[in-house]
Amino acid sequence: MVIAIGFEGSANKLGIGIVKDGEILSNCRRTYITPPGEGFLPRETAEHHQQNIHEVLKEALDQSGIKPQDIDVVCYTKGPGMGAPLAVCAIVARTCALLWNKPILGVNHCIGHIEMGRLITKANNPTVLYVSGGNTQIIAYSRQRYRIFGETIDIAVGNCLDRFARVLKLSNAPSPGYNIEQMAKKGKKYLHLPYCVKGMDVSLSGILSYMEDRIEELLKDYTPEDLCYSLQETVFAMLVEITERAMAHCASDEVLIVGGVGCNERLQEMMGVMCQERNAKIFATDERFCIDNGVMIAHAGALAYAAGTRMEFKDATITQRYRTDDVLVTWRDD
Amino acid sequence: MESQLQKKLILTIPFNNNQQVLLVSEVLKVDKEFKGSGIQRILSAEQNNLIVSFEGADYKKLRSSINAFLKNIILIVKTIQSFSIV
Repeated sequence: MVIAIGFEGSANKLGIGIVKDGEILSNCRRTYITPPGEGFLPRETAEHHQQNIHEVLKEALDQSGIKPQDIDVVCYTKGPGMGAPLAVCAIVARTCALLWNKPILGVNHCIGHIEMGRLITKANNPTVLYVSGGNTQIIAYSRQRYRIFGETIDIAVGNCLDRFARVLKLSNAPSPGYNIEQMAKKGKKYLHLPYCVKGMDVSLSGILSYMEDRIEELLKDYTPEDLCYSLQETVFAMLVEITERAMAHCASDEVLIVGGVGCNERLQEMMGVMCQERNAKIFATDERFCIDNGVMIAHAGALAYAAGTRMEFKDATITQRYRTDDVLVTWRDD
Repeated sequence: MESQLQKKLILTIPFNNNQQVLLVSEVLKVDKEFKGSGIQRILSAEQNNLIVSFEGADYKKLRSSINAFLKNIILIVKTIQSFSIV
């Protein structure tokens, strides 16, 4: 029975959560939201995390009813993500580990999403679509690795959507993707956009540039709602295609969508149509867990710790690049 | 020529006791100073003091290193103050 605390801060969400044997005891989060038309940069994001981390930590401990003495392992996001924000969480996690005399464990952010998705949805062995502002990967488990079957060859789908939201100067609260989704629901006229699937992979930067370059012209014939609708339909169809391709290769009948973009109901709907055609089941979580959070780090860390994974204190670093398939999945033997 | 000369700044940061100094330096030692910065950072402990020396040729990089370092010190100190097990 492992009690773990997890610190997450790889992007603009700061999350701290506590889990006990798969039971979520607390999940606290603060989001750094920039003005419309602006994205978040490393320095200011790190400052946001610095200013809020102690308050969030106290909240997480208080809500869980757990005392530091009871914690078995202190987990933090080792990567991938933005350097300065990651470092804030790592430093506080290290300090806590020493203050409380507990082992420390760095966790891969992507694996955090996957394991949280499996815990919440109870999906057995799904093909995973991991889509967020920073990542777009199709992942399938095989022999103690989460193997990347397909991915974006340039930017993440969430990045594409967020940057388009900036072009339209949509609000970034609660997130730019959410506001694009609401706009898209009111879209009526479909604009044919470049469709960019490359085998198992997708390319998104071209679609974004296409829209950015022509935005003045486009807004003469299409409303912002029409453009949001067209963009979503296009990029989500691409994601459904590469998911289906991976499922066919793996003979899989389950799809699990994780990551912030996984909250999008239109994406879930389109994936659901494909799944129904293949007699497959679709799994997704709600915004508490698809958006970056601390408890997913705690849970993935707890699984690794319980299976015997350990980290020396001197290795408790952060890294901006950390491949999902670099992690040995010691806690699964299927 | 003058821009190649090494400037050195030594900070002495006092703590309540030697254990705190060792804790702070253990947390900080995990991260090496950014390779491309040309700044060398050396940490040492003397009783209740943390001694940090920064050495480098570029003023701007020196200032950023020291700035970032002090922000981390603030982070660690706040954590010690709020979350030590009494």
